[in-house]
Amino acid sequence: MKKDTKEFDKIPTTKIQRASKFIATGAKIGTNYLKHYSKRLVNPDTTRDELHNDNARDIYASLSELKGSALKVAQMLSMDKNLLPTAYQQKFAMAQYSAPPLSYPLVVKTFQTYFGKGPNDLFDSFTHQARNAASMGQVHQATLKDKKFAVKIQYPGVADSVKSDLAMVKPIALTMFNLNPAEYDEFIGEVELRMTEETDYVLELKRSVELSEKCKNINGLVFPKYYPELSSQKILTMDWIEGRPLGDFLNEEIVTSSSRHLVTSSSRHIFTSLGQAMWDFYHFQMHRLKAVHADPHPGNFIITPDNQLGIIDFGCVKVIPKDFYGKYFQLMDPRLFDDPKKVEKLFYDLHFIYPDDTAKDKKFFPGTFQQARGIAQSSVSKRRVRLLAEEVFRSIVWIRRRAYEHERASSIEEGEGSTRCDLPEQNIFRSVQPTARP
Amino acid sequence: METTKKSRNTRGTRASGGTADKIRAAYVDYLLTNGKQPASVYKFCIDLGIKEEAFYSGFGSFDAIEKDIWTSFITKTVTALQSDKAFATFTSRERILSFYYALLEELKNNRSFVLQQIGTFRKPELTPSYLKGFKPVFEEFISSALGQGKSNGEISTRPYIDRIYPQLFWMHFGFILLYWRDDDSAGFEKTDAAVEKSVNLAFDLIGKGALDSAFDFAKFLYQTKK
Repeated sequence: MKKDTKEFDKIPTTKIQRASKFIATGAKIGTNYLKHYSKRLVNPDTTRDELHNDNARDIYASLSELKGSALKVAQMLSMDKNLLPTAYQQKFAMAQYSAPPLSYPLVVKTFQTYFGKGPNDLFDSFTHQARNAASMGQVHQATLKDKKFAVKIQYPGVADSVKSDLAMVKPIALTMFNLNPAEYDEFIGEVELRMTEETDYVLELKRSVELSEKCKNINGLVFPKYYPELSSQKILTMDWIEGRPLGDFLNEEIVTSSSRHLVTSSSRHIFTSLGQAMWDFYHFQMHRLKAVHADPHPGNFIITPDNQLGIIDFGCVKVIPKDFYGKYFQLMDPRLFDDPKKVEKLFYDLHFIYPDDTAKDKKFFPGTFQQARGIAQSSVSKRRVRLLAEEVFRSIVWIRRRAYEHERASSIEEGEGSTRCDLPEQNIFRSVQPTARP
Repeated sequence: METTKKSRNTRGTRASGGTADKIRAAYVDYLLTNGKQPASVYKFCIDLGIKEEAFYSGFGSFDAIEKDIWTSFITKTVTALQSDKAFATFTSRERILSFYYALLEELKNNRSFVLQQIGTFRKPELTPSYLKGFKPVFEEFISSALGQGKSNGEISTRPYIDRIYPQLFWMHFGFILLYWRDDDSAGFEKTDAAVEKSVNLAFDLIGKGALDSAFDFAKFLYQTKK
């Protein structure tokens, strides 16, 4: 059947365009390095921070034009904070995955494919325009009788593009973020799996129902009700939660309280109760359910008008493997370090150290780890923690992450920088602190 | 009505009612089962158990049947769209998008036939004979949708150029059709994405934008240069 119709025969336009986008970015980054080194010639004090800032800006600009999975990867890299220099993290934290919007006719078509009816036949009203961007799709608001619904619709073909997009990010990520290929493959394999799961709304529905059911007794949390009869592979219907997304909420609160140090007692109270709710939520998942809501993106948390924490989007759930959980939290046992053999074995098991690492690294690592623990536990000056953290950054990804968490945690205790969207991660790790204290 | 010759349009064949439907169905069945047209109208009529005369009162040839089937795809689509109340409130872009989706849905129901037809399609710039009745309806629909877009400012008026928009959309349709032919994704969702993206691009190009400003500027430079 396939004949030689060259003109129309599957021109992979998008892929070529996308790839050329990366080339352009690469060129820009190159000029940034040139700029950096020429500045250094004149002024030897020029730091790499500026360079990283420039790079982050350019990479972000091109990734956000690409949208799709590439941006999602950037976002995930930024979530795993210490994989990236600070400048990249901040830029990418802004990244909101946003697919190009689906046109209304396509929304109608999707409904017709799955329900045999248009949205207007199923609901009393259905917004023509999307109200929010969601992972891999968009959210429309609908009403039926006196109930409001959030209806999430997925962009067609998104599931297939995940793999090819990720393959294109690889070279840029390897060179620009200075990652080691083995580490990257492990990381990206995980990302791919999670993203593919995220495109399956049937699975998401099942998980959402299960997890929200199990977590319903935690104070201060609100979960939407899900409607399987109005959901399908590409459509997910749930209650509409009134309120502001966490990101907006925090920005507004910060603006109103003019400076972060002048937080009023009432808003401090709100912050505390929200933080508590989130902490409880993540602990409960980590330690009881052994599965966590793995997309702690500020848009996925809604602050309701009565200051409850609404949690949406269970598209991305990480099930914590039992043996990892066991080994990982063993690290928190202060007695562990009395037995260096045991420590070493544990580090191998957790892939903190690989058998082919140099002897120096092998030795350096457990030492730094112990030091980091000691310092973090005895909350000494932030600067020392940071210095140490920087030391640790150079070793291995996982330990980098932990040190950073401790640093963040201790800065919270000092009342600074507590209003960041990465609260959930901190909470996971803060949980283990009390037990670790001698 | 029976005297309407050779039925250039659906109205003509509809006049011959049940027989025309029977002929169409039998023809499609033969075509898909054997992979080629029947040897002759004579043989075809004997197999079907009708008189040759009855055949010719509906269709002039086998090719006319094919043309008629294609035309029915698009007329059905347009009728269905126009009977939808929401359609009147759509913008030009949405009209064309929903037109494509509805049309592809219609083609999907007859995919084997469509594939059989466009499988041998080599030169997309030429309109194959079976699309001869389809094309005018297509262009008429596109023109009316674009006309609406022009009147509400969605599409910028460009003298001379905007007259060929319907032809450009016709070529675009050729692209979509061939894309759909080779699409192996579940539910042809890649085609959906292709339609969405290409129509958006088309409307960005024909809407007011950089092109108009560039043209305006070039004209200004040319005119003011002494």
